[in-house]
Amino acid sequence: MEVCTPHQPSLLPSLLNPLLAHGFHPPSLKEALGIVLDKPGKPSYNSPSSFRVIVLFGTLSKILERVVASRLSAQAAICSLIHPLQCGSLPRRSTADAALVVQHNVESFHRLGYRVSTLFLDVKGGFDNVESPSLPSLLHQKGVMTLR
Amino acid sequence: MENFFTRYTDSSAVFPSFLIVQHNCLGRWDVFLSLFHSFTMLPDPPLLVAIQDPPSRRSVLPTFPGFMSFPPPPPGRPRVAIYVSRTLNQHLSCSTVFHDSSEMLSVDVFSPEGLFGSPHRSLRVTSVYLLRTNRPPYRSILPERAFSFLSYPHLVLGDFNLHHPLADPCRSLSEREFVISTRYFDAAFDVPYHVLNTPGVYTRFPFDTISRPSVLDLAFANTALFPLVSSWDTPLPSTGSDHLPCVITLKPPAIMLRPPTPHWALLDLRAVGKALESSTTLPCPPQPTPKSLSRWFDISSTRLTSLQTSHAPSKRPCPRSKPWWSPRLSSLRREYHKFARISRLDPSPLNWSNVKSSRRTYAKAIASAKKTHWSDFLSSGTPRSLWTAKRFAFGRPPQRFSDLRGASDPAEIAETLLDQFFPSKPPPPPLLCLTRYEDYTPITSEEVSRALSKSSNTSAPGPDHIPYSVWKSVHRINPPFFLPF
Repeated sequence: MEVCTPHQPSLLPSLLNPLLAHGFHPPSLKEALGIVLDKPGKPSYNSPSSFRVIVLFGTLSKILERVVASRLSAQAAICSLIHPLQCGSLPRRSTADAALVVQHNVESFHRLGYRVSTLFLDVKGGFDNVESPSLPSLLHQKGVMTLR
Repeated sequence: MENFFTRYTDSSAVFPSFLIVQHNCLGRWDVFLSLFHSFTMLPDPPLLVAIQDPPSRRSVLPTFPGFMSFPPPPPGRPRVAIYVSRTLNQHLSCSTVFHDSSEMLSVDVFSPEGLFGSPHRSLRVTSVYLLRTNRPPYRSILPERAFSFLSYPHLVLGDFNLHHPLADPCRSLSEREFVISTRYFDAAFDVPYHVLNTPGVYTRFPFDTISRPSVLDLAFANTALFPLVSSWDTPLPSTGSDHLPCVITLKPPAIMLRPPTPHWALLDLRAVGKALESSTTLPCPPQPTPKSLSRWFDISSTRLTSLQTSHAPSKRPCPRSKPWWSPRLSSLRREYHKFARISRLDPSPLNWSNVKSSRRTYAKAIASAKKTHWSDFLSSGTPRSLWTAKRFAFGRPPQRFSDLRGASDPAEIAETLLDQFFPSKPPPPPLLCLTRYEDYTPITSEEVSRALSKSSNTSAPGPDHIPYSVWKSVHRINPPFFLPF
């Protein structure tokens, strides 16, 4: 048995490590509090689509998710899984960077004498439709080492 | 002197109804056995059984499967006893409280989540047996001792040997009976306690046919407990005693009270650290199944969160919630209640007119105080008070959940919203066993610190109601709580 010293905080890691070691997310961490807000200016509030739900997960669940997410993003950087121009959901990248890239491309084509048109696409529900069973093997193929 | 057994779960989920039985066993074994065998006739098994005059041999109480017996402290023959169901003891923590008397005994039931979703974490059940004595107050326990002030729910029940018109309105009482019982009932109403008995329902049928039936078995609930009382009844058959067993059912109130919000800024971190150090550790099962691992995690995390919650005082109503209140209103309110009290004791027309005029003055003073306050508030508006002013001007927004696709019941509305926003998916195949991955990289405390440092202290917490700021402090003080994995 190890001896815990004041310089080695062990409370949260020792609570979360067994979950990670067995690759298991307990059902209690999937429980959430939903707060229903009404979208302003709707003519009728008889349909559920006039509302928006804000879902609050437990703090422990969010800490675990954050730790795993930071590990995954580190792996993604190592395996260069992310497109160099990806700006969303990445640290130290902002919308201004994305706008700058678009502006740069438009102006460089203008200088070459081309006409430029831009097409914006919005993928709805992208994360909801990820096939979770095949995701781990796909990531493994791409060279992600330890997901757990 | 208290015995502690600690198991923590949500009491309202485990016990939808909480049955308490009270009976005078006349010191007879056959009555005791008939009583415990008759519990099969109840819809749910009782969780607490308060017995007066239990049978005993050399001060040792009889046992019954599924129950734990709590006697008063020795020496002497126990005149009261409380039997606690093992189901209750497994899920909630119970402790006995002694009162230096063999005729009075209490059991405290503690649930850190709040009993029945109410803000109260404790419930005290006191079993009393008032024996006749020759000196005032002519019963063996002083009224002030039986009905003490408690801020949490308290149920006092037992054989009081008292006749009072409130419990037994049909009985013609002697003056002596009335004087003795009034002292106890007045002591109860001063605190205040409420009588749970249905007036006129007899609980004692004497063996001889000359005496009258009477109401001697009484139950009193204090103001904190009263909203949780669902019923008082005598549904069980005769057990051979001249008393009838009384059954009190506690249920969550129809209107659920929100549990009090802990004041996290006043969290006693030093006490949390000490409590975590002294608490027992719970090792993770070596070869866990999904069920056992999630059970281990639930118990460990609930123990941790309940420790944090119990060391933070509850938020109290803010003095600014009635900013228009003044000392004059307090004195007017006092005056109105004084006249109302006088009028209740002596309902003459003069007193009644006093009540009416004082009530009118009080109501008018409230209305004018509110009006003056809000007009002052609007005339001296600041950018900070803009939203309060808007709420005052427009009133509360209308209830928009009156009807949602034909659903009008709150449960149906919740179901409709869940279907819309989280459509049900086919469940994943159930995991039967878990494999331990030896090559995993354990989470270090630095990783947790980094994850916590990015989190906002004011971010709204989820079902555990514990904000990031508390986790940050607890993580910083590092209590060696769990066995290292």
